[in-house]
Amino acid sequence: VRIGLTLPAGREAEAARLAEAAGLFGVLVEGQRPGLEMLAAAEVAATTRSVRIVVRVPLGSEHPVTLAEELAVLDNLAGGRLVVLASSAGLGPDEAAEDLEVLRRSWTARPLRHRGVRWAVPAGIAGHTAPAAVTVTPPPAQVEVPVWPTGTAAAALAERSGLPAVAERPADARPDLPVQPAATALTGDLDDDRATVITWTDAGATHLLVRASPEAVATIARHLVPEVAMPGFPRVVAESPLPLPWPGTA
Amino acid sequence: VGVRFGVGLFCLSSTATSPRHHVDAYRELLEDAREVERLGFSSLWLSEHHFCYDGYCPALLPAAAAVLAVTERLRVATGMLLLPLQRPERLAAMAAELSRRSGGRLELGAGLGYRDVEFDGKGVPRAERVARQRAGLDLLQRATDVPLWVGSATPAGVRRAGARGVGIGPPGQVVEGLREVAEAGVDDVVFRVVLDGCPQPALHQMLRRLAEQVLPALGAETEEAVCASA
Repeated sequence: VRIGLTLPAGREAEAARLAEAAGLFGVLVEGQRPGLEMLAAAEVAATTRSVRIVVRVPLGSEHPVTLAEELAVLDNLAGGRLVVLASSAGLGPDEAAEDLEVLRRSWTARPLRHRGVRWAVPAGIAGHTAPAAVTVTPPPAQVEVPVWPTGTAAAALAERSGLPAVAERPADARPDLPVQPAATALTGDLDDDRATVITWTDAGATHLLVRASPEAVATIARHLVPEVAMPGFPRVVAESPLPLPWPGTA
Repeated sequence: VGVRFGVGLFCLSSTATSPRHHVDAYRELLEDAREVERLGFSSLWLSEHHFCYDGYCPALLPAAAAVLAVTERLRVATGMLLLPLQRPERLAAMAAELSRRSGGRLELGAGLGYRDVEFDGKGVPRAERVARQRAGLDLLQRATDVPLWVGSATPAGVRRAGARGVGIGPPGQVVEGLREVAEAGVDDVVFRVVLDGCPQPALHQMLRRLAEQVLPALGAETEEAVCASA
């Protein structure tokens, strides 16, 4: 399993730099209100180089084409490091599925024409000058932006789209999927956290987003990441004293 | 009258004559912003369009957030953000948060938009754009303390902006409108030097020349002109 850090609100960029320096695969950005997730994700994109930026986006909080444009900008800012947690938020399964479909088709660089219950794109209100389709630009940097459904309608969205829903309980993890994201909380107690991470590993999670204090990142990187990467990782390695700093480094 | 200079970028695109990867466009934006700040310009201006073949930036606040994260003093302004195409409550929350995160360095220019395809693509009737703009500006003025600008090309528009107490960003030649600007009670002028379509080394060379040789003299002239009109 690869471990990522859920970033604390208001301190995203600082915590993301810690997570990146510790070698975690990614960081999860959540907004306190719809829209704010885009700003924090942009800050993280501008101030990190390597970590995956997982951003939780509430579907329905804007026109899906607008969300697609903002996320495409973020993916370009991040050099193709974006992952989208598509939250069904307050939408029902049918509504969320339509928004998700428009969102994802907007990223294909194909001319987009959509006629649905919630959206018509283009709307066809400009009379005879109305275009038959629009192409949403710029395209994201990635060939395909990973999208992981979450929220109350996550299971329905996953079923219809074939995308992997974020597992909140180990019993919901699907070990048959190539990618099985999961979210959990760590306590800061090494033994408890080791048990939690092993439980998720055994359940088949591939990407585990953990809520933990930024101070716990060093312990996660030193103990949990190597231990889940290599069965029987000798603890003496993690527990041995740190090497002296190289001359000229902090 | 204070005269300041900002740099406008048209805007993260990859055109037929100056093609580039959009990842490079956004990386260069952050590099350009640091150079603009280092040279002492007061602000960087970004502008918005949708469904353009060249990938013209369609989402200004995420781009502005990235620029603000890598600079310390530079003000970042939208010139213009197409207000009628967005949900005003979400936009106001984003603007307030970005202003808070950046120590008040965000300025928000709001334009009506004029391309039919953009209204049709977003499902907004073009006939509603003025009403939506007005409601959006009302909300932004109520819910945030972000400095606002409006785009205006007509004397009536300049007077309306003056009455609202917001900045005016006239497109094109600014000097013709100086009388209206002065009558509207404007006490601050920001010139936007709009640069685009040249490779980054040339852009930076041009910025240096402007900052060191051209703009100081232009600033003094403008101050005199505005004082004379008033």
